[in-house]
Amino acid sequence: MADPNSLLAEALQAIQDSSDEKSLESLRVQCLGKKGSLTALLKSLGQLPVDERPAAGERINIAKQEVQQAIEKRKASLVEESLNAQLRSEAIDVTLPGRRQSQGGLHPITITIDRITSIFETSGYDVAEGPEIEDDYHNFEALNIPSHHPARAMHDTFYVSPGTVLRTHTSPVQVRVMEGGEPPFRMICPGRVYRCDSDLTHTPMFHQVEGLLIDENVSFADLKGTVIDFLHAYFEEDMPVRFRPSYFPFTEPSAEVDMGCVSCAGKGCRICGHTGWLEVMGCGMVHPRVLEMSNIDTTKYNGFAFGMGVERLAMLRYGVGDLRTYFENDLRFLRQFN
Amino acid sequence: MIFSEQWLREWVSPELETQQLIDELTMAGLEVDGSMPVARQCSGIVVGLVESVEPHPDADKLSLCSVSDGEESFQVVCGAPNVRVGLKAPFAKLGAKIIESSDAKPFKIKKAKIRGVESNGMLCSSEELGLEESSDGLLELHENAIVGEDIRSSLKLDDTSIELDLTPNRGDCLGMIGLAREVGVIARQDVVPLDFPVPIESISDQFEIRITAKDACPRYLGRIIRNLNLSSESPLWMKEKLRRCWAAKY
Repeated sequence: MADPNSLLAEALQAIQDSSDEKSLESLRVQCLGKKGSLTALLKSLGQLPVDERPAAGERINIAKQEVQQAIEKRKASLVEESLNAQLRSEAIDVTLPGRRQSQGGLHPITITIDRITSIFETSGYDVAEGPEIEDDYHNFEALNIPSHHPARAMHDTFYVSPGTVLRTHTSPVQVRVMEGGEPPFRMICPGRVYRCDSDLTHTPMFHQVEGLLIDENVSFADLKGTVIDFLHAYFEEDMPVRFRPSYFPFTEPSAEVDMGCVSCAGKGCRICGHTGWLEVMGCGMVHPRVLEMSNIDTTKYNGFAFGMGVERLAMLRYGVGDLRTYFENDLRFLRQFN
Repeated sequence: MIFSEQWLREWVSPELETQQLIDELTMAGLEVDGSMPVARQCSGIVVGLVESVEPHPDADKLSLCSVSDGEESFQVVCGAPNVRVGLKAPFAKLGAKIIESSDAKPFKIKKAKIRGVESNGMLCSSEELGLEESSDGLLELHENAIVGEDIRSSLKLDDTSIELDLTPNRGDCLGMIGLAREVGVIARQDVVPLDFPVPIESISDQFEIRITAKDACPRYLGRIIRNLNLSSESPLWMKEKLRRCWAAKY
């Protein structure tokens, strides 16, 4: 019969050396299982003389108990170790500050339109909006641009279907307001417009703000004053402004407006093409035919109109060189405006 | 609409420098989009007379010429196919400078040995003067060109092509007459109408014209020209006037 003490000593050593629960379990089976070594010893008690049996049995039972306890202890310690390892690997530094919510912001074009709108609103102008898909009449004819007129070439138009276009300017909105109301009018019409053009300074879709004022005895001086005051307010600088004769089918006389280049104070630089002047707007006295077509009495009323490209003003204010940047939706660019 | 300032000044010549003229045009509603000199910057080029032509001893396609500037004669090697005795062509003398473009270094004419033969100067093509993008052969000057005269004055190269961005309501300025009238008003100066000789009719051919769309076409003018000589070349003055009216764009 094998010596239970030596078996015990072996078992204890093996338990101590075991590194995972699986091997521990197989050890348990090896010692204490149905065919285990200690169990076999118990079975072999029958071979001993009767008077030696109780003592031997007791020794075996004690050994069994010690093995059991050692296994439990080792198991507990292994479980604790693996738990600690897991906790260590999943540790979160709770002293870190929390992640904030990110905030949205306004697009620079929106900011520019808002700025232009607020300047005119505080001067008593209404703000009117209208459809982006227009019919030929409102976009061209009502503005004194008949179908075969060479001025049509000035607008590269997107046709949705014959007679229906994506509006090329926001002037149609002004026509709609005039048709639906009575003078005097004082309004600006911001919005999206579409022209077939794409390069460094042109995109197929862009934004305009156009203004219209119809009243009695309106003069070109009123127009000049309005335009100059607006530019000074928008750019927050009293730069020189000049008016050059030009042509629009819906105004007569017409003018293009230049302002002294804000980058070089008029000395000449790359931005202004070394002329010292930047073209910013178009304007003029509303052509009587445009008023007649909207049933306004031209013996009583006249007025002026002006228009500006929002992207152009935004480019000048923020120093952005390529117009297409505004439409690329790059967050790194857009984030800078808030 | 691109025009040559010198051509305009044949009709009306205000006492304005080129830049002042450009500013006045812009402020009058004829916006100037750009302007360009009609020829490259150059100096030391005169009208040269080819006195003799011999084949180059060492090269099939080159000729050995003697070119006069009115006072001296120079030995010049030339590779142009149209060089011949009696030809008047632009002659860049030793020390002449040509600047290809505003940011390029000046190209200087120096004494050179071409295939072993000394060459003291260069006979020029219109390309080298910046008058054309490319050209074959030397620029053939008029037989009345004064030998030794600076080429800039002989060909009136101190001229500017000015480009106008005309609005659709100014169709009247799409020609020299209308433009001259406008400049006359701007500068408060009389426009001198040019004297054009009436062509002498030598044939009596007729061509029937019937206008059926009177609103679209109120007037139609035509002339019958027979026996055109298709191999003749337009005179240099005419070619230049036309070239300077599109040089800035093309």
